[in-house]
Amino acid sequence: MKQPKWLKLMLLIVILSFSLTGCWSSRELSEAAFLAGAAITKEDDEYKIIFQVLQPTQIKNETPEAFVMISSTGPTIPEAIRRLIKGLKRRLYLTHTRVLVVDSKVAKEEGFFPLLDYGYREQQFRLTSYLYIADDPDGILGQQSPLDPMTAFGLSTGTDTIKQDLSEMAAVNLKDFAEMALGPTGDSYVTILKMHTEEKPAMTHVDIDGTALLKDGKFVKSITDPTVTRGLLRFHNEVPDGIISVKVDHGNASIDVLKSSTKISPRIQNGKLTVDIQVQEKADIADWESNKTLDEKMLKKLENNYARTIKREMKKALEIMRQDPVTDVSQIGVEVYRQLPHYWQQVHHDWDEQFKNLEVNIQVQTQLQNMGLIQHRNRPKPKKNDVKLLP
Amino acid sequence: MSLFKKWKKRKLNKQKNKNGKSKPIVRDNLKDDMPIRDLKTNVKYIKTILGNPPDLIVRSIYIGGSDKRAVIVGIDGILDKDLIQQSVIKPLVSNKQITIKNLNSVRDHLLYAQKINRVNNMKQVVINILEGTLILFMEGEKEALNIDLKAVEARNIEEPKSEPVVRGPHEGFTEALDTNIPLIRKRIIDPALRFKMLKEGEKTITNICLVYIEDIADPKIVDEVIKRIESIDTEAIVESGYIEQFIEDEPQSIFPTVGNTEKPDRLVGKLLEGRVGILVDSTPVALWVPYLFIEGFQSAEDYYSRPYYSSFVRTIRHLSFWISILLPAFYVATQNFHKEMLPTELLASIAAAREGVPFPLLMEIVMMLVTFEILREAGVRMPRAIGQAVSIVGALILGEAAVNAGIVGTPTIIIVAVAGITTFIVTPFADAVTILRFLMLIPAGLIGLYGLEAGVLALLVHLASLNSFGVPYLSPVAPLTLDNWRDVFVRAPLRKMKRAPETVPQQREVRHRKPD
Repeated sequence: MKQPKWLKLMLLIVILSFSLTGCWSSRELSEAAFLAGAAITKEDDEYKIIFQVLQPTQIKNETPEAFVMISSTGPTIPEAIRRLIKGLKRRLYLTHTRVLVVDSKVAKEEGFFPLLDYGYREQQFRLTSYLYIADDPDGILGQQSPLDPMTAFGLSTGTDTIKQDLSEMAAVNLKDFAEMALGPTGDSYVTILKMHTEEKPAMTHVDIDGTALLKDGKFVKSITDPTVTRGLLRFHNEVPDGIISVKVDHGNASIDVLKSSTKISPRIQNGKLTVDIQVQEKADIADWESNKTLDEKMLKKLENNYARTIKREMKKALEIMRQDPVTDVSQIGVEVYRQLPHYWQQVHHDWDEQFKNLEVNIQVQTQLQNMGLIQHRNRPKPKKNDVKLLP
Repeated sequence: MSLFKKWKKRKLNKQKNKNGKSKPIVRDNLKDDMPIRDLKTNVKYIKTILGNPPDLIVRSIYIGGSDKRAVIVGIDGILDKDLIQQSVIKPLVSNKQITIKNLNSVRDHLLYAQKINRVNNMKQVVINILEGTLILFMEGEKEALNIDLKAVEARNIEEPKSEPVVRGPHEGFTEALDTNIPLIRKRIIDPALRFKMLKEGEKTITNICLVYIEDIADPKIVDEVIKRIESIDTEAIVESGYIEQFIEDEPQSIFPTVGNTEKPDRLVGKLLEGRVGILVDSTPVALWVPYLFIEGFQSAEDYYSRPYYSSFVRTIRHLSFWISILLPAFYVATQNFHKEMLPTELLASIAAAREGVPFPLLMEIVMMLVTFEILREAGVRMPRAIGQAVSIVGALILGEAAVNAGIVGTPTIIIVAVAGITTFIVTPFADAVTILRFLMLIPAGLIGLYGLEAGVLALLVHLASLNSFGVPYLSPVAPLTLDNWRDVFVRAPLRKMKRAPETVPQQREVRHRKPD
């Protein structure tokens, strides 16, 4: 009997398909383990990595902690990660790793580069994972998050939110870190985390403990004052929002930043490098605690004090950067590299020295736009007073 | 150019067929040249041929005003009994004044019927009797009269169940061609409206009526349709679907290249765009050609409602079509191959639902999809009262219980439900979509998104290769005719749609122009 050609072809395809033992790289969800975050420390010359692994059954049960913490050790980071399979007994997926917390001791002694090489080389890691330094990294990673069942996710989404609404935290992910650490100056910064312990009824939670400044990937010094961190962020044009309290002679006022932009323009004057930094900010008045009327004169004063606060914060940040060992994370070096490439070629060998003695002019322009729902102040008007009010 | 070539090819094929064999229309024992003889022989002949059926009416009478006998023969039920008495028997019997000499004087002076023809051989007589006309034999005549007294037996004009509309006419075609033609006639008062009757099917001899507007429709397409219908070589045409399958361009494709509707207003709209309609006796489903892919996404109501919501709904339909085909495959591909693609929180909750489920994901999806198809088929075929129960069992008990028992994950149910529901949004392609959904799962389950993309590409290539009566199936999208996009993804306001669609070959460029 004569078979049609297509029948033979179909038979061939069906038979050949049996030789495929499995679907290439196909993996069922229930055979996979997802790492959400990692804390890296060192013990006896071996890396010890504590992982937070997603525990799906716990999500189903709606328990506050939907994860397990599991550790593994190895002479190198990838080996330690692979050895984790022994404990988890599932295939590892690193694609959803969102936070990496590094022991501050390791950050000081070894620096970030040996730790992160695998993170950049392996295609599974996300460049949007956040980096932190902490004295007690596994404690920070395992600390129950107030609202999220997965503490690693809580930490990373929290960092996003703080970056947008508070401007007191240097949110640095793998990409940002590479940009800074592999950039012209090679200096970078990372947020330090600590445990915030309070007496009852407040809950223990993860808090920010300043910003670590890194030289060649090694933790050398830190900024502890959050307002100075904000000053640092202004150099990076990364202050989208935030509350700044400003002192006026009669009391405190809070300013809600609406828009902030920083422009760094280096120029050579008489053969010497001078850097002009222009900051322009628009803001609303969030709070006026003084009993004085908020009139035009007072507003002007407030604007000036606000500008002075910004300038002070930035100067303070610059001052810390200039302390030995010098770390230029102010973008000034980067801007010189961008705008005066020939000059940078001459000075980049001893940029630290140059940076230390640089003339930096900071000019701040502030503008207060809105007073909110109530005008002037929330106290009864003095009877006799007849000041000219704002239009 | 390709259109022309196609015709040429068809023409050649057609001629070959004609030379090859001639088509017998009626049974072999009905000889073409059987003459009409005396009354007794004729009646005997008819009785023999038809096997002496119980419903055969044979009435022998004397024609008044002459001494000649006549016999009327017909079939009970198809003929209108009152009309036979009133307009045939009564005038014949009661005639006193007029002298009757031959058949012509009977026809001209006595019979009240509107449509009377002369027949000159027995073969034609037999066919006419079966078709439902009354035959009158007269003594000494070599011919007979064929009197049309057909009783129209049709259900009332109702709203078609398959194409309900909220706004717009609720009339639908019925099973009787005689009621369907007036439904079109009353909507187009145009002398150029043409109806062309054809008969096909060796045993069924089904009446087929071509409808088109002569000064709009492309005569080449009309000729092509006639040719294709005439070349149908089959015993039976029971429904218009038979014709569709014989005349379609791409019988191997799962996509239809002939449109069908039960709504006269919809068919009229198509005729006015230069398409050719095909009405078939004893079915309410009318066909039209050429049929384009985008017509599947259009509904008659789109044009009756205001354009904004129509456009929105049309976008939804396009979206649903792709969701229905691709969603299960996409779900399998992302979960088995591209876990990094899913947002972490979503992945976490899917992982939670999948934990402890015994089957591989692909198997789970196929299982649920097959279950869905079984339920759907059960719901359609069951008597209506039970159909309801089936859907409740399917939706509530099977879905809920399967999840609770831990046999399938909840997301799977959602995916299958969404894919299932979206099938019915684009009804003309519902069957194609259902098959494609399963086909797409194969590459997606084997090599992930890469395979899925390859599958979609193959689908698009296939669609682009189709033709309907010489018109590219994907037009006006491919080949691109931007001007016609007024009626593709959105529906432009009617006043903006002055130009006739270029995609359908026709004789005019503008729909309507005011006389200068």
